[in-house]
Order: sequence, then structure tokens, then C-alpha cells
Amino acid sequence: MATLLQLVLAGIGMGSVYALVAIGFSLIYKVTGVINFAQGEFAMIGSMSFWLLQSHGIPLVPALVVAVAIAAAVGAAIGRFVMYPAAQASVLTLIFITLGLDTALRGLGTLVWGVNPVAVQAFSGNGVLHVLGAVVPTQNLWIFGAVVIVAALLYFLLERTYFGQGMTAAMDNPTAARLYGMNPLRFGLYAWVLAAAIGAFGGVVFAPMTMANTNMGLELGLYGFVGAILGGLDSLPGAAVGGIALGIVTSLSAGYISSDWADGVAFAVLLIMLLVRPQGILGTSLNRRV
Amino acid sequence: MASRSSQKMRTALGLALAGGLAISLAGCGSSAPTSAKSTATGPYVLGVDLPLTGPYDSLGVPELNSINLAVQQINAAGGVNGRKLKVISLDNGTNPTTAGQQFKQLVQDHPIGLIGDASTGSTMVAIPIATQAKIPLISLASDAEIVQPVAQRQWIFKVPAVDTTVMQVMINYFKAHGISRVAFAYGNFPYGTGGLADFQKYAVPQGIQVVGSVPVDMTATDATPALTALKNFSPAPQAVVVWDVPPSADTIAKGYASLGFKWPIFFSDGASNDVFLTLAGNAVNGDFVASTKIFVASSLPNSDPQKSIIEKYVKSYDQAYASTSAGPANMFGAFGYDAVYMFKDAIAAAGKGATPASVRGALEHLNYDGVTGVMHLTPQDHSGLDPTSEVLLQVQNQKWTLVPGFTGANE
Amino acid sequence: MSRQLLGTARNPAVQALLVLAIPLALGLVVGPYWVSELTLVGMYTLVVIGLNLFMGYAGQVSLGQAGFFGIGAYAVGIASTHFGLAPWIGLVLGMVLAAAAAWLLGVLALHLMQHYLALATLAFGIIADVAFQQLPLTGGNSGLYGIPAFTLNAIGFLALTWGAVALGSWFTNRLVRSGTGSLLEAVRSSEVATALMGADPATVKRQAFIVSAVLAAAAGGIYASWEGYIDPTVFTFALSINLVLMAVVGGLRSVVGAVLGAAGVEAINQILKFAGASLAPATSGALQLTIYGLALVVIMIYWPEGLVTGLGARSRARRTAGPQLPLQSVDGHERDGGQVVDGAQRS
Repeated sequence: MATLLQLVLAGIGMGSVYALVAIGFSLIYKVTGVINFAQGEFAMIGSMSFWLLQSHGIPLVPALVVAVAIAAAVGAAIGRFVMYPAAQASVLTLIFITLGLDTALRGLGTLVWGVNPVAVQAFSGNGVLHVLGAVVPTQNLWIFGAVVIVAALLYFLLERTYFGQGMTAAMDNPTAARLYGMNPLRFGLYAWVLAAAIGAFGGVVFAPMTMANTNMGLELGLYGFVGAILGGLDSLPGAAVGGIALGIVTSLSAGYISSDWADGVAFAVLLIMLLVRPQGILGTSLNRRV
Repeated sequence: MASRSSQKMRTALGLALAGGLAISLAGCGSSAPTSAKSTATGPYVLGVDLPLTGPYDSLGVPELNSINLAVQQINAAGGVNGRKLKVISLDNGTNPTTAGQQFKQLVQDHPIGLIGDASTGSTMVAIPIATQAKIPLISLASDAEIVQPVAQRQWIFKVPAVDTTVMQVMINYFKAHGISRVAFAYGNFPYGTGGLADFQKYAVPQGIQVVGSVPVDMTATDATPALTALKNFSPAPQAVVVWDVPPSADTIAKGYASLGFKWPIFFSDGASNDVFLTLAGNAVNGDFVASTKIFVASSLPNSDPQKSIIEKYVKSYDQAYASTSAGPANMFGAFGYDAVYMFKDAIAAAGKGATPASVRGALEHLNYDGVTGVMHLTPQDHSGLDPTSEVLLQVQNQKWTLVPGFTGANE
Repeated sequence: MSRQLLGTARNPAVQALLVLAIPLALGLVVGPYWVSELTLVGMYTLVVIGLNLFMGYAGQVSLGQAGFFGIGAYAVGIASTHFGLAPWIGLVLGMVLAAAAAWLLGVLALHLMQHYLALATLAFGIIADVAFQQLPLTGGNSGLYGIPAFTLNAIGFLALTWGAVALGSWFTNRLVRSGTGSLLEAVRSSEVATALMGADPATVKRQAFIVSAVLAAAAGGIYASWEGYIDPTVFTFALSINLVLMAVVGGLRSVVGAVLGAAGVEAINQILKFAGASLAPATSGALQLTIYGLALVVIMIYWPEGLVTGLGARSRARRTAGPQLPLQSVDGHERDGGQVVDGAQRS
């Protein structure tokens, strides 16, 4: 029982990071129809920028803000200088473009931050909490908190602001939005900025838990992506739920089966989900985008 | 349809790509552009292929830095046999297919010797290539099968200690402290799985029982799910052995500490890297690491032949590269440094008319004191590392300290 | 006159001969390193021809082709190192196994729409790689070493590889010109229309998928025997991506595109490597990654149809001086030549 609890709690910690990456995925997908394979690199940029700032003695909050801003700027640059000229491209071409971007960002990251994994200090020391015999590093609380904060902020932004309503309209019915004079490209740009910022935020809170390095993006992106599908690619709450569920599944399979098969189990779950319920846990319309 | 500017863009791209293809095809006919033959008067060429990007880049980059450092030192001192050394280095991106292609390419440049790879897999790809081209290869990877069976590895040598030497350091400690049951955690990649296989073959006959083993995914960010299994091993272990490299070795150290386990934990030489200390922070205090002497040169007696060699290497490396992103000197970089000096000694021993074949012959009889260790190579032993070169370290206050009395020699 | 030439060049048998003859002729004049490079390009081309069929004609994407490549490679590796069988036998076994796996995956997943199908193949590729790591006969992480060659020397391998490419290109060319081709074409345009034609889109897609899997397995089998060593790090998601990018960069729906895509991506990497090694050796690897990634982005933005199709489209536009045929035309018969060019010529 204590083992099960331990595994589930560890899984929620990891899953929260996948959830943040997954939310970014869904956001870009909903607004632009692009499956962004470079999404994990925003988390990498967040982690590595935060580490660099922190190692120069900059305190937590400003370092966090600047790291997120750096990633947002990269997202804006992609949205403007890559996605504008590619506006007429097919959905598949856009996928390939993001694969190229992923490679380029990884290379750029290595040029800027080097090859070594780096250590980032935990936000509130290296302490652990004991919960019914299970151990939870305090940083996991920060990570989980980050998901809650992002979810709340996104809800507020999309549901309660004029800007958000425009964005929601663009997501739900791009053609209608265009008729009302809204520029879908512009909203695509906003989606890239937001997704980059959320991914980077995930990278920052996650950095102390892991050994951040410039190669971490692809793997993180893949997992976030699986989380997004599990939850339902076109549902933001679904992405969060799917990411956390994926974290729990991988943790349980690492604990009860073996780490050897953890990747295999994660992707087998994805495959089964695609076959049984391709719209995901919380997704709704399957073929709208296709 | 596309706008005019994008039409222009397409034309420009087409020209660029066509030109590129033409250049690379033109390269076909003549020899490769990097060609710099080891002619009678020109420099001796060393062909180097390492992972400078991808998962093994944290090994490959310090290795290449150290290779360049050694070559600069040697050339500044007049070279070998009155000729300079020249390095041609390529990045294989931690990909065996690319490594294979690049070794074939390096062989075209008529090198006197080859250095690479940091991983066992890419070295295995290189073995038939070097053998067929009859050019000696010094590998920087650890598996014993790289140099065994020696009849099929005539042209292959290696710097790092074999797994079993590292294991013996730990086993000697276990015997002295009455430890006979251990749990084994390992990174799920060739170094880790090879470590487990060798440990079962090598330690069990010496009375060490493996009560259970736990793989940890190389990219796992939290090892606690996997390590939870340690609780349930029966009989309970008295110590834990870990075969892994940073960053996942740190993931294990952190998970192990946070789960509150108290058994002493022993890391293989893969963790012998300052990165291991900085990444895991307080979590590694008290942990043991079997390693070369690179971090404890100052604790060595003056009679130790390696003392001054290590101090010179660490000082010159840190001067040149400590401020770069690759960080201060570590064990892996030293492999590259030693490989160059081994070639230098072998070329000198082979004399003015040194050829790859005569250098291979000289390597088989080389006695060399290096940063990694003291080596006595023979035609039967292409590794030749003296087992006393491996020692036991303990992390105290996030610093390396020597635990005297335990080496890799089977007592 | 030139039209006749073009027509001859589009004959499947002629194309196949050229595909075999040109690399072989090159291989006889260049040095051993370039022979090896041409051989590797040939193996990639073989996979890309299959992808070309699946992506270009059936309009689907496979992000798991490395899995089939690996099945072929491990079949040869296991058959030869564990059971002492000739590599040829392993090669055939691998192709059969890959066909079976593709059939099964096809039955399960090919009814899914584009995105989801791509993801299912992605999952397959990663599960396959985990299996290569864990199954008892694969040698785990340490891989298989000492896989025997087909008693061939370097030139022999070059001939074998490009021979297989020629065969594969001839076969797929024939396929797309047959009734199956029209059906594939129809599936790409509209699955509803295909159903109206009385064919099951899933069956048509499955056939294309199986052909692509068999070609990938053949390439993998040759690879294992040629390299002599395989381990799970060869058959990763990154390889799947690279193969797809080769197909797209070259241009779908054409054998020339497959060859040019595989060669082009390798050439870009070669050029970057030489440039990087001479300009900035310390950071060349990272620099190469960056520029390679950006190059792909730029090609995809300005040349989304790939090099061959892109160039072809321009010259075509000039020739006919008329509006381009919409690519999503449903009329399978007018374009049964497999290339848009045919339709334009007849007009």
C-alpha cells in the first residue's frame, strides 16, 4: 500500500510536468491545427535559462519571469517568422516544420548552454514530506501547484477576457472568426507565445527535480504529446488530466513491472487509447480538424 | 500561388542545394576535402570520432578538448620524431550508423591511428573498419569485449578500466566490511546492463550475492518509482551498487536519499565526474565511487608515478577549458588525453618510419604512466591498465576524498 | 523529342535500370568511403520509396518506419548469430514479419484519420524499439555483433542495395500505374469518394502500408549485414523522423524524389560537417544541428512539395502557361501516370 502510494505520488509529480507540456500542445493544436513537435524544447529553454540566471545569483521570482519571457520570445519569433510565411502550408507540412524547429532549437540550446547537465536549486530546499509512509520531495508540490496556477490563469484568460473570447472563437470556429474580421494568424501567434510560456514555466519548476540538459526537450515533448492525446488533443483540461494520468502510468509500470518497459507501456497505452477512444479522455469532436 | 519573393527564394534555394550536391559529388572523385596524408614530412594524422552532440555529448566534448590539449602540448614540445601531430575530428551525434560512416571517412585520410568512440556500440561498429584498414584504434569506451577476444581485436586498444577492475575495488571493500548481499541498480543502456551482467559473473563467485536488481531509465527524471523496489528485496541487501553515469546516476542518488535508505551506496566509475557532485547536491554526501585517481591527486604519496601527471593534466585542462560549458577536468576527458599520449609514445617507439602497422606493434609493448592509470600493454592484453590505478572515493561535504586501502587488485 | 525522352524516362523499367546503373557507375569511380556513403543512401532510399507510396499516394504519414527497418535488421541479426542461418533467410523472414506487423497494425489503426494514424505508427515505432532492447534474443542494449555479410564486398553491397532500390521502384511504379494506383490516389483525395467507387479505403491504405513496411525491412536487413553490428540506438524515433523528412524533402510521388531526398539530406549533413569541422571544430556538432534544422524549416516553408515536385511544378507551369491542376483533384484516371505531369501534358 505504501509502495502504491509512493508510486502514485511520484507519478503525479512527473505527470504534472507532462501536463504543462501537454497544455501547450493542445493550445497550439486548437488554435492553429499544428501538432508542434518542438513543444518540449520550450521546457528545455525554460529550464536552461532559469539555471543560467540562478547561477548568476538572480533570485527565484525574477529568474522565473525572465526565463519564461525568453521562451515566450522564442515562441513569438516562431509564430511570426516561421508560421506567417507557412500560413498556406498543409497540416502535414506544418508538422515537418516543427520537427525541423525541434532540431534547430536543440542545436541552438547546445550552442548557448553547452553539453553538460546542470543542477538547479529546489525552490524551497531539498526537503521531503512524509505522507502515510510515502515520500514526496517538496519540489513536487511546486510542480503540481504550477499546473493548478496555469489551469486557473488559462481559464480566466480564455473565459473572462475579451481577448480570450476572441481566441476561443478562433479555436472553435476559425472560418467564422475570419468572417468577423479576426485574423487567425494573429491568434496563432498568441497561441505560440502562450504555449511557449507555459512550456517554459513547466521547465522551470521541473528543473530542480531533474538534471536539466539541452537534450531533454525531445523526450519531454513526446511524453507531453502522449499526455495531450490521452486527455483529448482538443481539450485543455483533457491535456492536464492526460499528462498526469501518463505520469502515474509510467510510474506504476516502472515500480511494478520495470523501468525497462516504462516507455513501452506508455506508448502501448497511447496505442490502445487511439484504437478504443481516439478522441481521448475529455476530447469531443474527433474529425473536426482533419 | 506563391508570391514573387518566395519564387526567388525557391530559385536561390535550388541553386544552393544543387551547388551543395555538386560539391559533395565532386568530393567523390578526388580524395575527401579534409585529406591530409601522413606523408614523410607532414604531420602524423590522428582520426578522431566522438559524440559531440546527443546523449553522450557530456563525454565526447571533454574528450575532444583533452585530445586537442595533448596535441598542442606535444606539438609545442617539438612533436614526435620531429613531426607534428594533427587531429581530424568528427561528431557522430551519438549515432552508431553515423559513427560507422565517419570511421570509414577518417580511414581515407591515412591516419597513423584512430581514437573513438566514447560508447561501446559505436566502437563495435568501428572495429571491423579499423581492422580492415589496418589502422590501430584506441577506444574510450569501457566494455571488455572491445579488446577481447584479442585474436579478433588485433588493431583495437582501449584506455578505460574494464568493468571488473572497478567491481574489484568495491568487492575488496565489501570483503573487508563483511558485506555479502548487495542490490544492483543500473542505467538502462549498454554501460549499465553490461555492468549487471559482468557483476553477476564476477562478484558472485567471490561470495557476493545479488539480492535483486533495478533498471533505471536513462532519461527518467525521477528514480523513486524504480528504487521503491529495493524495499521489497528479500533477503535485504547490506549495500547497493549502482552502474550508471550522470545525469541518471544523480537521479538515482537523489531518489535513494529521498526514500531514506541507509545502506552504503557504491557508484561505478561512470559517476566519477564533478557533474555528479554538482547535480545531486547534498544527496551524494557519504556515497562511494570507484574511480581513477584524477580527483585525489593531492592525497597521493609523492612516490605515486601518476601524481605529477594528473596534476599537470588537471591544471592545463582547467586553464584552457574550465570556463567553457564543458566544465572542469574529469575522468572521461583524461581518456582522450591518454589516448593521444599513448599514440605519441608508440609512434616514437616505432621510429622515423612509423606506419600504422609498426605503431600497432609498438602499442602492444607499451608501458605508459597516464592520468587514467599505469598501463602495461601486451600482445595478449590490449587494455593493460594496472588494477591498482582504480581506487575508492567517498563524497564528503560534496568533495571527493580518498578511502585508502582499496584498489582494483584482486587480493 | 524531349517529350519522348521524358516519356522513356518515366517508364518503370527504364527508371529501375537507371536507379541501378547510376550509383553503380559512380561507385566504380569513387573511393571506398563514398561507396559506403552511396550504399547507405541506397538503404534510406529503399525505405523512402515505401514512404513515398504510403505518404504520396495514400496520403498518410508513418512516424514508425524505423520499427520496420529494425524488424528487418534484427531478423537478419538473430537468424545469423543465434541460429547460424544464412543472412538471406533472415532477410526474407524479416520482410515477412514486417508485413505481418504492418498488416496487424493496419487492421487495427488504418481506419483512423491522418493525425491519429501518424501517432499510432509513432507508438508502434517506439514500442518496437523498446522490444529490441528487451526481448531475449536481441542482445539487449549491447546489441548483436559479428553479423555475417552476404559474402559480398563493398561494391557487391552497393549493387545489392541499389538492385533492391531498382526492384522496389519498379514494383511501386507498376503499382501506382495499375488499378491500385488509382484507388490510392482516390484515397488520398477523398475517402468518401473511394468508398463510392466501391473500394474499401482501409484495405487500399493497408496494402500501401504493408509494401512500405516490407521495403523498410528489406533495407534494415541489408543494413544489419552490411554494418555487422546493430543495437537499439539505431532504430529510434529520430531515425523515423529522418526518413520521413527525406521523403518530404525529395518530393513525394516520384522515385527521383526518393533518391534525391535521401541523397539531399545526406548531402546537407556532409556539407555542414565539412564546413563545421573547418570553421568551428569545437561547436561544429551543435552548429550542424542548428543549421540542419533551420534548413529543413526553410525548405518546408518555401518548397512544401519537395525538391523534385517543386522544380517540376515550375517548369510545368511555364510549359503549359495555364493554371496548375489542383492537387486535390479526384480524377484518378487522368493522373494514373502517378505524376501530375501526365495530366498536364495531355491537356
